[in-house]
Amino acid sequence: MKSNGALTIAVFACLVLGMFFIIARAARRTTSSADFLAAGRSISAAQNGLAIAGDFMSAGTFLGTTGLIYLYGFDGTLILVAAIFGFLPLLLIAERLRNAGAFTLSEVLAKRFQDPALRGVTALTSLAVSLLYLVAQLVGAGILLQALTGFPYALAVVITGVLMIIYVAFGGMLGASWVMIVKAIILLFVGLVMSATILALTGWHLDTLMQQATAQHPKGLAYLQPGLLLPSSHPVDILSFGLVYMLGTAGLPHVLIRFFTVKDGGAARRSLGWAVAAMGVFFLMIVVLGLGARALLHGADAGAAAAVGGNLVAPILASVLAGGDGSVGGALAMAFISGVCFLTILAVVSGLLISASGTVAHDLFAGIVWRGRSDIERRERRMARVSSVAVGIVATLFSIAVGTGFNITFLLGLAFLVAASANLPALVCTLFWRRFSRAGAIAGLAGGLVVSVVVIVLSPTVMGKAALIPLKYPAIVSIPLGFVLCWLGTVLRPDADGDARYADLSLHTEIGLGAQSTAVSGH
Amino acid sequence: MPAHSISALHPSADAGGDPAASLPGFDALVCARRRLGVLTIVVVMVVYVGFFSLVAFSGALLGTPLSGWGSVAFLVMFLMFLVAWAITWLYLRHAGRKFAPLEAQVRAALLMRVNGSMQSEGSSK
Repeated sequence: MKSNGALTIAVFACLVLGMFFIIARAARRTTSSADFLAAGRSISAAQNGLAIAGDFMSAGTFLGTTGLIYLYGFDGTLILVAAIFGFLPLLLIAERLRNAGAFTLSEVLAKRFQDPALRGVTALTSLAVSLLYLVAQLVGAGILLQALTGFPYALAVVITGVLMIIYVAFGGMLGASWVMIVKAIILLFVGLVMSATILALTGWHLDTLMQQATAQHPKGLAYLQPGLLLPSSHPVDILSFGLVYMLGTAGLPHVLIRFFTVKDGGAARRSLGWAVAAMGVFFLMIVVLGLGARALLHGADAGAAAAVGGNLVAPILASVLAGGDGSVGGALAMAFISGVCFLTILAVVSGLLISASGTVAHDLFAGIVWRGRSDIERRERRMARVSSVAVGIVATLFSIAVGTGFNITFLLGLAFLVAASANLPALVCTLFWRRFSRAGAIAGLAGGLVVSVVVIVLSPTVMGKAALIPLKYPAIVSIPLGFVLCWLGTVLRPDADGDARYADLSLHTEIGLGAQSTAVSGH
Repeated sequence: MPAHSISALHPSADAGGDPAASLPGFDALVCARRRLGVLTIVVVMVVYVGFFSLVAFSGALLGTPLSGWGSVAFLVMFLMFLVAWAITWLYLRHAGRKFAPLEAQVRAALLMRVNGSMQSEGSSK
């Protein structure tokens, strides 16, 4: 199946321009740095829930996971279970994160420990996760745009990067959130139409769908069983896969900062309800899409779907459902779905850029370099925009430099590993452990980062068959090590004033003392 | 709440003591949140690690064909979504009923204390 390049580009242009209206509206309302970094705390629980869900209703899910289910059946669905369960631990911390009244993840730790060195280390691990994730998404965007429009890779990355920078530099968090919300609604609608069409074609019987899919798969019944993607000869690896994608999700800065955009702790908590509901519905539709593609794609379509790692299954399926190759409906559906995928990528990379540039402006500059100055708010307002442009340019150039040959799995794997092994242990200990000390936080964060890099380098992802650690997903080693390092640092160097600082943090995070006043002064 | 009230309650401003400890309802709130949190995280981890253990160690059992659902694996996977929804719904319902009144109680107590300290500041000037 060939996509119609001109039609696809026309749809891209329409969607991108539509988003400019949202961005322009957001830009008018974005004046202070609280507006830029946290949407002026003005997002409602339902809106924030959709935005959080939007982060995970990504091109990686819509294209990647649909492709994985098409290719590997049951094993492809595991990442969806991991993603939705990754949000359940956040029930415990979302409210307290928002109550802390911070703008970045590092600032939450800084509220307890008030130490510039620690703030630097936290900023570093946050930045590492966001940048690794951002580069992985930009490389993926380049490859995808290349396949969908025929643009050369470098041009595709530059287009994505430039639009991302414009969206973020002008619209800030408010713009990025609204782009995310709108595209989440579009994706839910697309998923609903496609999965309903598939179910209608199979007589609304899940059983019929499963049977047809099984009949079409070369491995037959094994398609409905575990083992095609994650070999059962490595059971510990499967368990570790589950852990890193669940606990990594709970430590991703670009997800956690979304809790800072709502008005209070209760709204942060309730936004999780919306997020889990929307994500669950979308993920179940993805399962239907993957199975449906297997059952309904034949001949040349099936061949094309299996190419590019299964990443084009969803657009090809949409085209077939709307009338197939050569029909007007088929061409339109293909172009529309491709456009929606591009919009999704733009929304996700914009969220990542806000997270990374917020860390640079708010933690590295306002929190450390300009500490104690009187004109921080004015400087930060400018720096937030400047750093979004600078970080955006660096990430775009880096994505072009690493090129299509680079292993995105390594980048994403490392991002999730650092999030789960460094960010999450330090965050959990900060919020829940009275004795946790400054030294423990630094040991956990810096150590967790180093351990993550070491274990992934020693794993088959980098070393191939000569790997020293036989686990493709070494999280089962690194996550406990992250917690042990937090404990070890605390035991070796406890804080003298630890109790008072913890009491102070509790007072703020349990009832949101001071958090509301930030919202008021932000306007 | 006005910004200056925060410094009035800051522990460093409050000579040595734990300002939260004496607030009525505060300990109850912390305790309620912690109890629900521990229960939730234990259930989540047991269900989740249990599911992945099944996938990792009992692939054959999950592979059993099951009429209506394709295989046991797919049925269990669909159930995982239901469980995730159920846990979220139960947590939020419980939190909405338990936390909100306690929070209101603590905030009211805080407000009284702030007003008190502002009056004493005013009288000393």
